[in-house]
Amino acid sequence: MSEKTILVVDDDIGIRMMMQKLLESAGYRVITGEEGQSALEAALSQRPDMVITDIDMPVNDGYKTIQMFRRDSEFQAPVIVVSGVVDIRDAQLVLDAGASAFFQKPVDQAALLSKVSELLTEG
Amino acid sequence: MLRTYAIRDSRVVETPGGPISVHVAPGEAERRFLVDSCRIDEHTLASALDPDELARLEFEPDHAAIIYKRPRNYSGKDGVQFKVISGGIFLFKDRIVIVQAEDIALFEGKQFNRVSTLPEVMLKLIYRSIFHFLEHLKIVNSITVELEHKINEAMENRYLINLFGLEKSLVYYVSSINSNDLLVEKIKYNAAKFGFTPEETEYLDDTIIENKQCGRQAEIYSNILASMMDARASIVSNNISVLVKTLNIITIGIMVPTLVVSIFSMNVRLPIGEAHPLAFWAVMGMAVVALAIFMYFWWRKKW
Repeated sequence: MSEKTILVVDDDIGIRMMMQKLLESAGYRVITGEEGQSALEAALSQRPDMVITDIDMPVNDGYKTIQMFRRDSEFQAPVIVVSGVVDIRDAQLVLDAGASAFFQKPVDQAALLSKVSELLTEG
Repeated sequence: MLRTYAIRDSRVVETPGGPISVHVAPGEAERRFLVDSCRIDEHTLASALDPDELARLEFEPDHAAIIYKRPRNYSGKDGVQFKVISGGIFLFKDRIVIVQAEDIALFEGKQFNRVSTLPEVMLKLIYRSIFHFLEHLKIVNSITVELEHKINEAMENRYLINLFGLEKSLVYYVSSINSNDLLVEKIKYNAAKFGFTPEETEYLDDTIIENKQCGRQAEIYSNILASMMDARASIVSNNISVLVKTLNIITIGIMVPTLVVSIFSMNVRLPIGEAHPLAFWAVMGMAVVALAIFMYFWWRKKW
């Protein structure tokens, strides 16, 4: 597998580390960000192949972050949202904002890896 | 929620009516079925769903009841805290009933690449939980390292609170792994009752060794975290002291020239009259000299 880069954005250090370990064990290169603004900067400078982000974050929340990604015509990498929100309307909102998939925390690791692989193959 | 599985081609696959049934957070009707039809003891069933219950092995007339501990999937809801849950495995002669409070992927990982018997499924579930603990320990260690870096520059308690959460998690992990240790030892003593094959007995021995290593690792991480906690709190406190010192230098640095200027602002006869053409520059010069003397004094004292 060619090494694809995934940007993981979550203000919870535990989730970031979990995702990092999971994705690295699957052969991906992982860069991390703590909130939306730094994620955007990382995305613009490092051009990851995919972004996995939380919704509830300081500075710029997940919705704003996705919208900012989508406004950048050069950055069209798929975005997966992993969030603790339980409301189905929130899930629909992030999908409407331009996310490719939505997962609820605690995330089903096998399902997430499968989705990551599927979206990266499509891209 | 009920899902059933069967062993096919040495793998556990979801099969309607299969001999492996998994009950996730069983409702009242499902519980009644488990108690009345499967003859599972009500108290043991409650233990399988209680996160605070200790691991144990009990023999009933037609089945063996195993309560074991496993890590809860990390959700980040309770801050940086890793928690444990209990699970129940009820091994009958021709089927196995698994009861758990949360929907966790049970038959994933390399452990389940080759399975042939129901007792082996039971052993591999326990082994899988040990593996899960080990995975979480690695993550706890990585988080600790990152938090340590952040604490070196931190002036707030957020990272310390995260470390306290990890410390608490490790205490729970050590307790749960020790509890699982007693369980696997007890399974070994009762191997004849289970009728394990030589391969299964060997696998059980490996499980015991792996669990002991996991327990030692958790204890070491827990001890390191606990013993360094005071030092880390001191670093945060010291960082605040350094900040306060810097602010003091700035404040006093501003106060000294202000004093000089204030003296020359008094409504009394002054040595330099206001009509003097260099009066302003003389006062400013004295203020700068006073500031320079203060800075030199500070530098000499190495404060």
